[in-house]
Formats: sequence, C-alpha cells, structure tokens
Amino acid sequence: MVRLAVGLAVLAVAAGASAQPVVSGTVTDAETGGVLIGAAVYAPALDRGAVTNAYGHFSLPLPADSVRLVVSYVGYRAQEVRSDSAVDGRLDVALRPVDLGEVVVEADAAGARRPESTPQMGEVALSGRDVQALPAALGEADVLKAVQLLPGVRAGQEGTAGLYVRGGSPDQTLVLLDGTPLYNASHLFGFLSTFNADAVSRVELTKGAYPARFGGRLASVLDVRLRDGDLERHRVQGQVGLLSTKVLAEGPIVPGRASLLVSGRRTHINLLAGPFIDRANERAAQRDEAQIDPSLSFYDLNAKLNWRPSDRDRLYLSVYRGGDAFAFSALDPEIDCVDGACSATGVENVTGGGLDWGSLTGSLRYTRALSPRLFGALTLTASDYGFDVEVTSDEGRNGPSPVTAAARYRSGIRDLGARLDLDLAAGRGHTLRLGAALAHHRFTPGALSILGEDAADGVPADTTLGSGPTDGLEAVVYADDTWRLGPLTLGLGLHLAAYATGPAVYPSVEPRLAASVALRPRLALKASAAVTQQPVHLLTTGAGIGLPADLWVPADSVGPERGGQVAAGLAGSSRSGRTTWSVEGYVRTMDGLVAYRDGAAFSTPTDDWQELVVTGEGRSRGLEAFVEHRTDRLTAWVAYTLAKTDRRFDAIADGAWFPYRYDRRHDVSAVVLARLSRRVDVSVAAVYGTGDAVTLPAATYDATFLSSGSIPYWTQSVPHAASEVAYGPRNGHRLPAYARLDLGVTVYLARGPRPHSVSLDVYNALNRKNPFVTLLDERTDAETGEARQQLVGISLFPVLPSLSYRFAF
Amino acid sequence: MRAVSAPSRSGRLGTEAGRVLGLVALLAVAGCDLSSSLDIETPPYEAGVVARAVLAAGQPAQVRLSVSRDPYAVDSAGTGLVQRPSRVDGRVVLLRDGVEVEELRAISWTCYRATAGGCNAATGLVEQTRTGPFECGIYRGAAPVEPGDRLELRTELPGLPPASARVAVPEAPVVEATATELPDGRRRFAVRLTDPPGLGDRYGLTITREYDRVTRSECRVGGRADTVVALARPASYRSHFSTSDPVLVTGAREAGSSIHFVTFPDDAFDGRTREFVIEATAVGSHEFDTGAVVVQVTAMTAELYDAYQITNFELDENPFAEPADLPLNVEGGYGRVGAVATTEVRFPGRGG
Repeated sequence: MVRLAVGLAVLAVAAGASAQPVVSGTVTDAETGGVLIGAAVYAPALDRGAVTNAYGHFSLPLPADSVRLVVSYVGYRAQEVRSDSAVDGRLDVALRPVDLGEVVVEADAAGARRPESTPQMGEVALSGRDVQALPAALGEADVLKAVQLLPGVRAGQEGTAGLYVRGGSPDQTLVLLDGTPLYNASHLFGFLSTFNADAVSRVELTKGAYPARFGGRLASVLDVRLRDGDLERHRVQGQVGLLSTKVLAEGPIVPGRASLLVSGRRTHINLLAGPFIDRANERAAQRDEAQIDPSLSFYDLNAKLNWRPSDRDRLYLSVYRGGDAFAFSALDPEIDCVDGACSATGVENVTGGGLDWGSLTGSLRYTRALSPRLFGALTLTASDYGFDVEVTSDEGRNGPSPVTAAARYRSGIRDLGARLDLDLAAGRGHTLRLGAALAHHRFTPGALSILGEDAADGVPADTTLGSGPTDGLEAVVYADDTWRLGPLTLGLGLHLAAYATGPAVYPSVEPRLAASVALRPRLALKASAAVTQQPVHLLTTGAGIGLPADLWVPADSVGPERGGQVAAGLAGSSRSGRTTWSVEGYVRTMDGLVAYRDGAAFSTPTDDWQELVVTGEGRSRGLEAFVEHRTDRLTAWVAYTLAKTDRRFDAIADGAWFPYRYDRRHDVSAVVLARLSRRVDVSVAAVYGTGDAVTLPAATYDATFLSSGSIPYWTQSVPHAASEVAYGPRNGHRLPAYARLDLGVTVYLARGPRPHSVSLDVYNALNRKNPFVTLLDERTDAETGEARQQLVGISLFPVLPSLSYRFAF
Repeated sequence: MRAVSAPSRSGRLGTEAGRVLGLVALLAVAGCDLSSSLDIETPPYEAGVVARAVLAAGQPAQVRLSVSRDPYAVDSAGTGLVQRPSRVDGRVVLLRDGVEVEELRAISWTCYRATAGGCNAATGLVEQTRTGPFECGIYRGAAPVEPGDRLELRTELPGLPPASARVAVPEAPVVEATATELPDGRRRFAVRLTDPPGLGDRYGLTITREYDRVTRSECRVGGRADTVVALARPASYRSHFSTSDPVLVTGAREAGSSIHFVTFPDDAFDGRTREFVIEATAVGSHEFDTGAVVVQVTAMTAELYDAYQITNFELDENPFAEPADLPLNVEGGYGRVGAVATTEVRFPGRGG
C-alpha cells in the first residue's frame, strides 16, 4: 500500500514537472473559515477554470502573465483576483456570504461550474442551505428527500428516504459521509435520513459514469460533506420541531487554526405519544383487555475536528454515531368467565420485542498541498453498522405452566479502510486524479438465536442458526484524467479493483469514459460510458419499505454485481450562467443482482443466507431533463425523467423479464425556493410520478397440500386441499399515480449570521392519498350480503402541517 | 455583471400576509377527508378449470377438477387445509406422446361440511349427523402410468375454456441401501443413489416404519372402549431420521435435527452415485411398531419440487416475505399436475 502510494506520488510529480506554472490555493468562507467545495476559479480571458475539490483546494495551470481570475460560489459575493498576486504559486481566497440588498456579482463568472464545461454527466449538487430551505415533513429538513427531487432519482415507498437511482436499488448508490461509506442512512424505518441537515455543507450526487476515484457500487455516488466548523467565532444553533430537537455548536479551538463542530439530534416522539398511549392502556386495563406499550426513538451525533497546522496542511477527524430503537410490549391478561361474570385470573401472556439499528463511523483525514500542482489526501475510515431484532414471549406468566421463548436476529457489517488520493494539475490541459484504497469488510449476514423453556416439561431450547462472520478484502487503484483539447474535453478514468473473500477473488477492470464537445458557446454535446462492479448486495425485504431488516451480504459464492452504462446528452447554460440545463439519455445493464426466493425472507430459519437467494439481471433506460435557475434570491428547478427498468431472475416468474417494483415511467419534480423579503422565505416542492408496480392475484385455486412432505399424501388425491393464489404478471399492475405538493414559509425574526426563525411547513398540502402499503379490506354488500375483499392503499401521511423554531446565538 | 437591488419594504407586510392567507386557503381546499385508505381498482377476474394431481409411477392417474375462485371473493369453505369441492361433470383425457390413451372415469363422491354426534352409550351405536353435502368426486384412470411416460391431461368443464397439463413421469431412482446397527441401538443406513446424467433431477428422501396392530375405539353399550386389533398386513407411518450429510442438511426445511422429509437436486452429484448416510432410532413412536424401516427415495417433477421449496420457505404471516408465487403448469386454467416415482428399500424388524 505504502509502496503503491509512493509510486503514485512519484508518477504524479514526474508528470507535472514539465508543465506550465500553476496557481493553487483554497477557497474558504470569509466568516467561518470553512472550505467551500465546488467553488469556481475561472479565467475569463482564457476560458479556463477549475473547481475546488472536497477540501476546498484548486490548482489551475496558467501562463506566466498576470491573468484576471474570478472566484465565485453561489450565495457568496464573487471576488476578482490577479494570478500574479499568488505567493509561491499559492492563492487562497476567502469569499463573503451575500446579504440581501447587496449589489452582488452574478454567477456569469462561474464558467468552470457550468454543466457544459465539464465532461462529467449526471452530476447534481445541493448545498446545505438548499436542503434547509426545502419544505420539510414534520419540520425535518432531510438530505435524502432533497436528493429525491433530482432527475433520475426516485423515492421508494411514500415518505421513506431510500434512493432509487436510474432504476437501481438503494444499495447501488454509494453513500459517503465525509468519505466514509454508510450502509444504512435512515432513521424511523426510513422516514428520515441520518444526516443532520444543520451539519451538512454540500451534497453531490453523481449518476452513471461516476469518477474513477469512486467504486464498489453500480449506479451512483452520493457524497455528503459535513461543515468544517467555524474557525473564527463560537456559535450555537438549533431547531425545535415536532419530531426532534437538534443542536449544533461550533467554534475555534485555536482561532484561525483549529475548530470543532458538534451536532446532535434526538427525537421526542415518545414524549408526544406517551400520554395518548398511557390513556389507551388505562382504558384497556379497566376492561381487562390487552395493553400495548410501543416506543420509538432515534438520535444522531456528528463531530468534526478541523485543524490547520499550516496553510498547506489540514487534519480532519469526523465521527458519526446514530441509532434507532423500536420496542413494544403487550400484556394480555387471561380472563375467566363463570355464569357470565368475567374476571382476570392473574395469569398473563406477555409478548414483547425490539428492533435496534445504528451506525458508528469515523474518518481521519490528512490533506496537504504537496506543491502548487499536487494535492494529496490520506484517509483512514471505519464503519460499523448493526441490526438487531428480538421477539420474546412469556405465555402463562404467574400460572402453572409458563412457557418462555425468545428469538433474536442479528446482522451487521464492519469496515476498516485506508485510501490515498492525489490531485495533480499536470498542465497541457491535463488534470489528474490518482489514488489507491484498501478496505476490509466483515459481514455478519445474520444469526438467528432461539431460546426457550417449557416450565411444565422442563425442556430448554437453545438453537443458533446462521453462518459466522465473513471477511472480505477490497483493493483499489485508480487514475482519472480530465483532458482539455480545445472544444473537446475528455474524462478518462480507470478503476481497478479486486475483492477477495475466502477462496474467491473477484477482480474488475472498470473503465470510465466521458467526453464533452462544445458545439457553440454555452452548449455542449456530452457522452459517457462506465463499467462498475459491486462486491456487496443488499437483500431487501418483500415489503420493500426500507426497513433496516434489509440485509447487507457479501459477494461470496453468489458473486458480485456487475454493471455497464452508456449515456449521451446535451448541456448548456444561459449567458448569465444563472440558468443551466441538461438532457441526458442512458442505458444501463446490471448482472448478478440478488433477490430472495419467493416465500423467503431474512427471518427464514437457515444456516446460510445464500440458500434463500436467487441471482438475476436488470436493465434500465431513460431520458432525464433538468433545468435549474439560481440567483441569490431564487433557486428553482424542474426535473423530468422518462424511464423503464426491468428485472429477470431464472427462478422467479418463469425467468421472464418483469418491471422493477420501483419502475416509474414518468417522474416530474419542481422546486422553488425564494427569498421574498428580508424576513420571509417561501418554498414549494411538487412531485408527480407513475404509480408503483405491484403484483396482484389473478385467482385462487385448489392445490395438493405439499407441506405435508408425504409422498403418499401427495398422490392419494384426497378432498383436502390447500387454497393457493395464482398471481398475475409480476409487477404487472400499477398503483395510482404518486403526487405531492409541499409548501413552506419561514419567517425570520432575525437574519444574518445568528438567525432566528419560525417555519410553517405543509407536507402533502393537497392531501393526496399516496399508498404506503396495500391491504385487503373485507366488505359486505348491503343488498346481496356478499362479502368481498377490496384492495385498498393505505397512505401514511395526509396533509401534515408542522411548526418549527430555529435559533442561533 | 449585473446589479440586483433590494426590494422596497413598503407594502411588504400586506403581500406576505396575503401569501400566508393563500397558504391557509389551500389547506382549507385540501378538505377534511383525513382518512388514510384509498380503494384501488383491480383487474377483472376470469374463472378457469383447476386440475390437481400428483401422478405416481405404477399407479393409475387420479385427477381432481374444480373451478378457480375470484381472489377478492371471501371463500365460504374457509381457509387452510379443508375439504374442497371438485367436479365430475366434465371430461379428462390422458394422452401419451400425443396419442390418446384413455378417458378417465368420473367417480362421484359426496363430502360434508360438518359432522356432529358420536357414540350413543345407551344403544351402543354411532349416531352421526352430516350436514352441508357437496360433490368431491375424482377422475381415475384404469392403466397405471409408467416411469418415463410423457403424458398430457386434457380437461374440460362445462362453461369454461379447456385446459391441459403436460408432465413427464420420472424414472424410478436407482437406489441401494444397507443398514448397520450402532452400539447405542440406533440404525445407520447407507443409501446409494445413482443419478442419471444431466442436471435437473430432483429427489425426496424419507423413511417410513411399520406397525402390525392398532388400538381401535369401538362404540358399545355403556360408551366407547378400546380394543387392540391385529392388522392383516403391516401398515406404515412416516418417521424421522438424522444426518450430517451436507446435501441433506442444506435441503432440510425442518427445525432441529430430526428430518421427516428432505428434497434435494442433483447439482452436487449429477451423473454419479452418491451415498447418503442417515441414522434412525431402533423403533419408532408407534405403540405397535415392528421395527421394520422402509427407506424411500422419490424422483419428482420440477414444479412439485419448486412448489414444495417455496411453500416451506414461506412462514405463516411473515410480513417480510415476498408473496409465494407457486409454479403452475395447467395451460388455459390453473393448478399443478406433477409426477413422482418412488423406489423403496425395506429393512425388516423383529420377526422379519
């Protein structure tokens, strides 16, 4: 690893030695000292520019002459500098956030940020401010729900935070929190994401041929970066909402040199629901009925230490801890009735259980501007995700024959990783990115423990099913070059990976190609292609509601997922740069997909999860259109996706292709975030999409009762039969179209660096009933007396107004 | 570059108030219907013939015909394993290699929804009242089906489209077995199964035991009394065994170490002879067990094997499982027609 890193560094330095002079530096927020990711550094006279990387660093080869540079970032006052003001090639720029009413430089300088200026396709970024400004369900601004409003991305079930990108399942998106992979990014059974929007600096989604520095997933990369923490001032901000309260504190440890940011969030659903549950249980107790006591909670903590020992060095330490706990207990007293008089016998049946899941991640990152043209980042990451479900039963408690039983199911995945990334402004139109990474995965795909005792018989039971942990080692080397050749810009990348688990080794050669040709000013034709491999699978539950019971499993003997994608399209922007647009068509293939066999689930008792699964393939194609308009007062976008995605498994639906459950033919989202005045912001988000694909029964029929497991019984042709359901085409029916309108108004009691505000958000303002789950409801015809079952969709969220209060001091 | 000026503050309050009022109005327009359910239209239902049969090599074909049901109608027969009506007012023809072999004979039977009553202690007679009669007849062939037969069942019921099912009766498995007695009294069976070349063969393994007497409850004056009756020839009952064989352990779907029935494919031993070692207790659970054990290896058709796999993966009320979409092979209708061929090796007990 070390030799490889040194080799790469030598290669990088050698490659850059002969190139032209370079200006490099860091772009920061002038008020907080935090780095600005994705800021544009643009030389209008040369029509050449650079964009700051994830650490706010840029390198821009320039002629020796003095060149005017415009440094810009949306929401900040653009700044003009001369290249000859750099000291030893270093030019750090601090941008000041704009305040309303100021005369500001518009974004026409941000040439390097325009979509037509980069060969990268399918890339969309949101700032933490965008996320905060969107209408929020129950007052909770949510990163993943904001991303769901982008083209090519759709949500799973109503209200949940899963990402289905270009027909891929949620596991096909690599979710990174400050560079550390997150395996479950949801709270509250998927209703919220684990990202505390207050702590988020920037969210970048790259679909399709994502850069070669990323890997291990088929579809896309969601790179979430936390704020660095204010280097200049101490600051506390927070929010009190219906669902949770959150607080963020940040400030300098050594002014200008080191800062610490700590944020925390905890729900108080139990506080709100507790009195209602207590009252219901009091009534149940009075009537000797079962009392049920559920509880649900989540929390998350983020901490980030940012230390700048010198202008060229930075050290970051990020830690995330988050968890959810759901528990329930039900107490059912046994009732004895004599001559119509009923009373409790004192014997009770108690059932209970819990579902806990959570992640602990950490990353230690050291970055250094090794030279004006070479920037390096060394990162160590650790990630631990666990899921634990327990069900207990205490039948006949206080009685003569109590029977206790407990079943517990655990699964998890633990990663340790190290990676080295180098950015090299090599000159002659080349911008290189090189690196290597090594990661160790330990999977615990699931162990089911069954404990029990029948007191009457004195029979204890103690059984554990499930295989032990499985280790996997993943090694990666990559190189990525952005090469500008006049009107043609090429993105050439190669990601070489090998995943080893037990005796199996799965190597992969993954080229990433992208090209952009300027057809005319502010209009480019773009194309890209990529091959990707994914050594981990997410086995999703049948209900598909993003439960944490979704199980991460390694490639093992079932092999990895492999995919390919080609895309082509047009991208452009208006003269001012305030409006950008893109149209992209894509075709994806996926192989080695894993799904549960019909009738199987994570809770099926087995010693090996691989017995429960089948492998298959998928295909997806679509067309995405995106128009975005950004000024300091207004952010608005419209996204439309026309898509079709199918799956095929030999052992499912007779091996025929069938629509993916989340195939959505049409998907439109529109967002408007506007500052109406110094005191009032408004936001509107509207979504419309084709309904989910579901499988519905076609008929019921009589069949031989096979579960008897007795051949003579099978062949006797007895009158007794099992009633079975014959289903129609797999996912061949559509639920009603999905539509939602969310509104938000924020009234600022004070703006500026320490704002106070009150927000009124209305989720699903049109009270559309979007089905979360479908059920059968038995109804009797009043005239005929005939009983029938009606398929009904149960929506989770009617119109939901919420108030929240934000503060800062 | 462009300059953007700040908006005027005059009249802003009124504008903002208007917008907030607009929002409130929108909420009002949303209406008061806060119910959470929405009726969803379902596809129209079309009834079809249901054919149900598991043909056994060496035995005549037996087929039951019934009519499918609307999946959204509430089933008056109830749920679970219950007696179901079948019809004999149609026609079932058996074809071998496309040539008609025979038309199966309709045998009319009557089943009852409920039976009440019992032994009258005063008279010593069984007095039962049966209610809710319904037709539960069967179609039966005359000639036994043979291993290797390629059969087609063509079925007709009045008012419904004709339906047919094709099935290939498997060859009987080639099995040899030996038994050894272990020091603890248990018996170990080495079962050697020779698989024909070509993947896709599917097997089931079970053991049965024999008993030669039964206790019968007879109705007499004064009430029921138990009597031990000797059988003319031993009867068999299903038993269980244990094994550490990986193929069998993988295929077993029963919790614990006792296996009553295990299915497995030939993936791991295609075209070869594979020995399976199983162990069983000296005698079974029946009161009059003779000690005789019969090892049964059954070759079965794919749809039977797949359906068994799926139904045994499916747990009752498992909220996480995919709906079990069981394989059907009746074209133009519904149902499943499978076939089996069984080879038995008997190990005598006391007294042979």
